[in-house]
Amino acid sequence: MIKQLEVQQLSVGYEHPLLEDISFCVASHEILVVVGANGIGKSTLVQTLLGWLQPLAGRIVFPDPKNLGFMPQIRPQRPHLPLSVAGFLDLVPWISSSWREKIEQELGIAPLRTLLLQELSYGQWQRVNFAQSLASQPGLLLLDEPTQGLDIEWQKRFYIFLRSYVSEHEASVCCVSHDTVAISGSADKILCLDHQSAEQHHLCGTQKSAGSFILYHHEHVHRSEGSC
Amino acid sequence: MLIFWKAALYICLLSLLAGPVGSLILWRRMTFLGESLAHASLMGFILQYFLGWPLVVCMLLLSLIYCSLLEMLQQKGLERSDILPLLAYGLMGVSLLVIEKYVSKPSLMNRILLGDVLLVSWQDCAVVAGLMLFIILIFWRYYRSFVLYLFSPELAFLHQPQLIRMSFLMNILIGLSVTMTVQGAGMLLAMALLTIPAITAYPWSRTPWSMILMSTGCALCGSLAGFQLSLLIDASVGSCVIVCLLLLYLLSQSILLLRTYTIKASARSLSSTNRGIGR
Repeated sequence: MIKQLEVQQLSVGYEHPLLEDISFCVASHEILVVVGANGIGKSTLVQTLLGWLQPLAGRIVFPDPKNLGFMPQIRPQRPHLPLSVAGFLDLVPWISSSWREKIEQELGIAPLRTLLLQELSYGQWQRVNFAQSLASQPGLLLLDEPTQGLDIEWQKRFYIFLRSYVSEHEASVCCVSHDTVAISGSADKILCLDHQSAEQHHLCGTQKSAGSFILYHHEHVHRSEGSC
Repeated sequence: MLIFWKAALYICLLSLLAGPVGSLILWRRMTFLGESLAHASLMGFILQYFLGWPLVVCMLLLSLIYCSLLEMLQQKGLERSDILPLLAYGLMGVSLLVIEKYVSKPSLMNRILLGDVLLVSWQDCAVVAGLMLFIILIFWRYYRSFVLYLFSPELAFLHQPQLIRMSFLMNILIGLSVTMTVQGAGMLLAMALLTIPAITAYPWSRTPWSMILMSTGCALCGSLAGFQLSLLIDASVGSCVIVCLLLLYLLSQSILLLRTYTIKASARSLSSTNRGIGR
């Protein structure tokens, strides 16, 4: 299997590291879910993978850094910015109009096209936000809390869609989530950021908290191929 | 007569500048940045007085220093709402002290606050025209990234990784427009022109571009009407333009209220008719 993302002994944070010494990789066809308590640094990890934040130490290896899709954790409300759903989706470059149509259809966005972003519910906005991350048909998807705000029906459809996307396009997903029920049925790998160890790490300053970041395969195996 | 044409041209150019920049100010919720820069631009006049450089250069220098300071302090972790009053009132206080002690020109304060568009030169018109072209060009080129940045800086970075200082670029555009407008139109008119048309246009717009076009139109209508009014009643152009912009805003809000009332009334009558049929 092709490695879409490889992280080696990565430390992330701002002035002080939030997470230290993380190593993992995601191969094509794989969905990695990052779980952990609030404030532990999950979103910071995603921002570092994206290149928005510089890593404090370690390496991030992408075979194709341009082949990346990103779904940030944001709210649609921008007072005084009149932007429709179609206008928002126009802001990102789509690989083809047929692909855009397909995505809009699959994610139920077609009926929302003319609505202003302020008029959407959070769940509807999350679908629009997810659609923009798929515009360039990326090989690696970085998703920050993608199912937050989605109803049960759309959560199910989201994971089914994600699974079919990674299979059809040989893509990989790195996804931050609190949705433990869905994780158990959808993730190939789970990166668990341990809160207690992270607290100890904060208290101990520079002391390395090896073992605080647990990477494991859960019991339900979706694919027969080995991990990277 | 030439003076009036020159002033009218200047006001029109300012209105064309006000559309995109005013919308950007509103989208970024940075009316206070404009206000704060308008106050700080007093320092530009002081620099001109002491250094003897052209006012345009002094204002340019001031915008760059101001925006760099803002960016630097924000990166240090200070809140924007803390930095802006510090910079605005700090610079304004120092400037007022210098004016009081060393500059014996009582008319200077009046000029800075209220401006006098009848005193503008062809050079001022050329500067505003150049700035307007520059801003339209930047808008055209980076429109997508600007709007994406408003939602998520990370998303804008993903699509335009070379523009890592997008926030700085937007601040510079706002800063240049405010300081350049203040030097000819005065603080009061500059900020009114940059904000009131955009606030008026917003409820009528469905896209960012339509908001820019409508606010440019509002600014042009208000400016030309204000200019005419000032000739008619022999009052200062700045105040007349502001009054006309305000009237335009009130007119727009009244139409919106009337529209909402009509829609509600027709919905009520429709539901009562349906109830009648039901019986």
